[in-house]
Amino acid sequence: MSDPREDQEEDLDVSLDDEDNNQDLEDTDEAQQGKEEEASATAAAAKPAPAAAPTTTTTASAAPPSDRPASDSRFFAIRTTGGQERMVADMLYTKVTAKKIGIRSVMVLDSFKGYIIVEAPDANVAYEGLAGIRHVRGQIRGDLPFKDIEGYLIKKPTVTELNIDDTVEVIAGPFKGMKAKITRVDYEKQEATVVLLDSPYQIPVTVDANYLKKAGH
Amino acid sequence: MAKEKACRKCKALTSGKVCPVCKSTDLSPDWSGIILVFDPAKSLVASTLEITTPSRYALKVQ
Repeated sequence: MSDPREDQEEDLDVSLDDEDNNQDLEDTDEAQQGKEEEASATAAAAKPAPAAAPTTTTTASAAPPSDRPASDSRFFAIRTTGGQERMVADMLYTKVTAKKIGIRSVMVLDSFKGYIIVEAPDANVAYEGLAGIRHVRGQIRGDLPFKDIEGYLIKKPTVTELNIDDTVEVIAGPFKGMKAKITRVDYEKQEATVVLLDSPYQIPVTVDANYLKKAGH
Repeated sequence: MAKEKACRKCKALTSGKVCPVCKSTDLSPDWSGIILVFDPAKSLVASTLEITTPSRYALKVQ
């Protein structure tokens, strides 16, 4: 069994040690405050460096699509009153040419009824241009990817898609709505000779290639 | 408003008898789709269609 006095002494030692520890802690707190001040000063000095770093990264990321000159263009689908797309486009043309708004182009596509497509670097620029224009009903959220619009811009002649023995549908002319089979294609004149499948007699008919549409599309 | 015509060469739209872009007189009344180009240098659409002059263009001319 140990002496209780010794235990008390030990306790006192411990308490003394605690005081010392507290002093040490205070010292360390002061030291830490000093360190923090230094750190904040160094951080303030170091701040410009991280700010400069993203700019370098953005320029690096913007570099790859350099094959297209204006990679920052975004496309917005603007809803208009039905049948007033050209009216909206005309008003927008007048406004943009007069006020030098940053809109780059506007498209009115016949296959995209009730909408016009605005090309701008930013949504705010598109909003600025469309503000106050009649027949504008709203905007589809987000922007359209260019590859979706590209298909409307580059139209291959229909004749290039036609091959002999293809089954096609006649979409215009006196044989409209009939199905036919191609027997000959004249790529220069953009004509195709077809045999009508719905007809009781197999008569070859030469029609404009634009009047034909590939069946199943 | 008189029906506009599209130039068969450059597809520019005009109400007159001469194309405002290429000065051609070969105009067609049968066209569809409108493209307004304001900034051909920065426009992706203009670069795709090889348009260099700001104007109003048709998308398809027959």
